[in-house]
Amino acid sequence: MKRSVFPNRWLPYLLVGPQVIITLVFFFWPAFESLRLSLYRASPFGDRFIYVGLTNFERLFRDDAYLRSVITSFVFSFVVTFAGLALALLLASMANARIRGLAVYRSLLLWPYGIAPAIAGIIWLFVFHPSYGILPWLLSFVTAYQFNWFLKGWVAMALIIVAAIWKQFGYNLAFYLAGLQAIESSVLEAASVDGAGPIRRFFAITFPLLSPVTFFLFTLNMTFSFFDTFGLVHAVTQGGPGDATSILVYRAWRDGFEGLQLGYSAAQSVVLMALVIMLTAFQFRFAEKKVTY
Amino acid sequence: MARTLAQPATLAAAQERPRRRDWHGFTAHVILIASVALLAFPLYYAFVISTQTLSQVTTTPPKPWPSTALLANYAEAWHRAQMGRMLVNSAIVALGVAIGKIVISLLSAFAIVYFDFRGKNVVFWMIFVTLMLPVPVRIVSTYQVVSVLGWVNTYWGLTVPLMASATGGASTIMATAIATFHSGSCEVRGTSVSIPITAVRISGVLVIIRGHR
Repeated sequence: MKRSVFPNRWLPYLLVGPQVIITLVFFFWPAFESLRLSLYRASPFGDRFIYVGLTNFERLFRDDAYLRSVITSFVFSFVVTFAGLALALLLASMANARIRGLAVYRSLLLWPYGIAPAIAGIIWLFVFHPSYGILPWLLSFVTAYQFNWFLKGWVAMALIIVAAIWKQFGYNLAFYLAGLQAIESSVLEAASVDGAGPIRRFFAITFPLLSPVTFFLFTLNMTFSFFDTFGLVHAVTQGGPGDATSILVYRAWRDGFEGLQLGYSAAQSVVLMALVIMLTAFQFRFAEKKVTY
Repeated sequence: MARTLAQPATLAAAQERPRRRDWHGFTAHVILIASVALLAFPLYYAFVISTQTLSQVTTTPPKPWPSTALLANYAEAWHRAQMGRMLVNSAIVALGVAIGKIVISLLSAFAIVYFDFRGKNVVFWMIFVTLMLPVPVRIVSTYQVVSVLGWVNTYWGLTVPLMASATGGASTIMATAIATFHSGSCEVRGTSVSIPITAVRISGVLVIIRGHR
């Protein structure tokens, strides 16, 4: 494409100036501050910082509670992502027909995406609440088991997983529907002429052709469930009961703000940063090689 | 040859189509309506509880329909939680972040697309990496920076750091992408950052920008 380029020396710098300044001050400065702090330990009164080298990291990888958080985080993110995407894809392929009012359905399905994670959690709290929630009440007819998320760690986990999937569901569904409708029907017809049944058609044609959509949604849901669910955990379970729902982002915040172990918290931030960088690098490599556009 | 082979089959498919499509459309409607209802239920239930008195809420068979305490509950919540003040605060923060983000992203995207200048690459990647580090990850050190600037307990401290958040970077990149929409890719010297652009993706990104906090 021929792009018009204006020959001005200082104007572009003026234009990118605000963005660059804000990025430097509020992105790079905190990032480097985390890197630096992770090598220090705050004194008991918080007035001095003592250089401790890599002690914080050493402590981190020996801390059973932290390692449990790693597992909790990955379980949470993978369940939210895979269950959410599978559910959305299933419903989307069943609902994929040229019907009237698809735009109306789309907006009726999309609204939970506009709800903040914390509020999504509070909304589900009413459904899950042991004394007035409708779900524990309904389940009490089936089993005598107490679905009390104040006491049972896995129920609390289920609560935040359901809330997270609920928030993302309409978004995933809308994308899958759009992706499905973009697939040429002639390809599918050709396959059925060749004798492929609906399931074979789905796995041989539809699913591979949807891979860009799946990949995009996978990335989006992983980042969402790994990082943006802080508000959800903070508002609903506060990491509890015990440590059952303390995902990595929540733990880093709690150790920093409530535990006031700034160095230790910074070390956790650094680990998270490394994780994000790895994830991104993986995505780029994967996106270039495996996903067909 | 392929055409001659395919013809009888397409004819058969065309004859069969109307009936099958109707059935298909009906299932689609049923599934979609069920999803809409299921998705709306938690919010409906929260609303129902908000219309009941405390004793109604805590009696055991939960009643899934609205009751009479709606006005009393909302009035009490409004006063006890100072919701008026909070709504004003939220509006200030949301508008501040949204407007700030849009303005700075628009300016830098304009510069990146329509000017050639030294360090363009660096600037682009600098913005690009903000995508990788969401605010919650660096929340503690961001708080420290805000306190060094003396912005604790101010609207500045609440809004400006969020303008540097992932979506701030994303909107710049997207503005860049949209500006170069016809070409389908955005050339930043040396490395060609081609962002595959489809209508689907752009609508998705717009949803992200609109829906994110």
